[in-house]
Amino acid sequence: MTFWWLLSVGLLLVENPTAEAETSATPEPVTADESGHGDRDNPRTRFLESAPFDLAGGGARPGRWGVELSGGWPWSRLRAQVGLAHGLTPLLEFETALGRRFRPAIGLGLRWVDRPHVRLTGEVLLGWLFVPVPELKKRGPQGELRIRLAFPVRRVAPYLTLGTRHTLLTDRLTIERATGPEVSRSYRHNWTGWATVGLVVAITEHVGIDLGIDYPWVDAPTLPIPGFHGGLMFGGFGRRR
Amino acid sequence: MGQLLILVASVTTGCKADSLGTEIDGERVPVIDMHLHTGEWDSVGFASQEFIAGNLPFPINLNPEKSGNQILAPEGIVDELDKAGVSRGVLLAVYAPRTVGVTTNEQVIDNVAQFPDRLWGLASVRVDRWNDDREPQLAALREALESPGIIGVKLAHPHMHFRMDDSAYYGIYEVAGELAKPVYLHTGTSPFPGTSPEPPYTDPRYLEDAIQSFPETIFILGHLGFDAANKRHAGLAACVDLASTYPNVYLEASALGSKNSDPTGEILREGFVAIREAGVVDRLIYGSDGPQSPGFVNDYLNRTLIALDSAGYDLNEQRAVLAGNFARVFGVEVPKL
Repeated sequence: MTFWWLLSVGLLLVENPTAEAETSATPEPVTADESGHGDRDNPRTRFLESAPFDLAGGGARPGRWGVELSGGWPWSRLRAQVGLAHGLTPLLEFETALGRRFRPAIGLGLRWVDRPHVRLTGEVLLGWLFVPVPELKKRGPQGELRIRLAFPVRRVAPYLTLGTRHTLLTDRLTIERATGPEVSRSYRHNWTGWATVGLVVAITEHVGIDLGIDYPWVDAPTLPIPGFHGGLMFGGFGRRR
Repeated sequence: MGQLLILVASVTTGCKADSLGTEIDGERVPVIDMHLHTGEWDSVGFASQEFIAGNLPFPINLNPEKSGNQILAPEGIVDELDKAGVSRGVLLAVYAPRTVGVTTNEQVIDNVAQFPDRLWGLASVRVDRWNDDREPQLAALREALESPGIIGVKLAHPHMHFRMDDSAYYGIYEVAGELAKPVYLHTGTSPFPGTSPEPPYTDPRYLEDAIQSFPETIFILGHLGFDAANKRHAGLAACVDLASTYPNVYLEASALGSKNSDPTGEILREGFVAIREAGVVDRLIYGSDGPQSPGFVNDYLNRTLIALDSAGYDLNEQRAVLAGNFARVFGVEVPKL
């Protein structure tokens, strides 16, 4: 982890030649995007509207898209988002823990605070929890409320994610009686809390990396073991500013 | 990643105790845990597998077979004893194929033989074909009881589906008494599906006839008749009465004081208070019902120490509960520290 922090600091101190080349190839020099945050000539602000920071802080401006592929222990995840009008950002997520717990989900994000160095986004997701491990077998619809808070500065954006997940599980009881099987169903609620702290580093405006520590409180009240992840973020290719 | 898992699990569940024994009032006191389960994942029964998996921390529980085998193996159990500072543990054989599964006498004998200075075992007996094979089963029990390190018998009427007052099974008590091997009995309901929750299988009062009929046999009433299904005391008064009335009755308070059953510690404290007020502290034997999950053996011991202290047990009484009573009943030495 120390290595990645050093790398982040190092990246802060050097110019990105790729980004420079892109800038010089731009026919019409544009120094700020529509938000006013992303002055490309200013090293302090040139990555503020980058795709990696959109993914870190949640939300995106209309037409901007981003994808993150992350892997780690125990979670691996695919996340995609695209900005629409009025700040709404549809999301698509697929996550798994060790290939033994799965959740595909769709959702919607809305950026609540959109300042140059502070991003706060609320997200709502609906998905399906599926745990095929026989001893823990469970499946059912899951809803999640999540907030994402990020602090983009130069090339890096420390971030915090907090979520509360609620799953509706169905228990089916079958009693084999002399008169035939008798089936009854009961329902219960399962809660999972979620916290992630991490750091996103923008390599270019379109590509970044994400490193984080995950603490999902799965199967409460038994305390879980924290996890970690590393991710590749990309998006916004082909977008002219 | 496997090594990382073990490392992370160690960090989250506590490290190995500096030495065996636990410290009470500045003195180190030896501990014997008389209730530990062993076996192999595939034979412990699906209900037990679910129970163990449900107690493992995420994400270790996503691969319960691997973790379960580590926990149930004698090496894993001794590791848990080390972490808790427990000098010796007792492994239980189980024959409950329709509920919690099977851990054979042979498995227990083998596992005890791997750590003869740390483990003892209790044998059990198959009763699901009792009308057909009573004599061979009793002979097998007798043979198991004569094996090195096997010091008693384990029965669980609600798991094994036979009534506590059914005299057809009294031959088990007869063999145990003849060989001077105490009998540990699960009393109270069980959290596992498919068990028999009715009073003749769970209420310790239904054991009174057997207790009277076999005065040479030691009866250890496990779990204090706790209603595990509803997480409340149900048979505590009966257990205390029986211990007060009959000199061959002993008590054990495993499982009911776990975090899940007794989050505040009040249930375990109530049990200890009732036993002390009845003047039968010399009948109380310590057990945890571990290993269940990494750290459980240590956690249960700590919860027991807190409950004993808050129930007013002095140092000598705690010494007796943690090892002395066990040593006297089973005819073994108190472990030296």
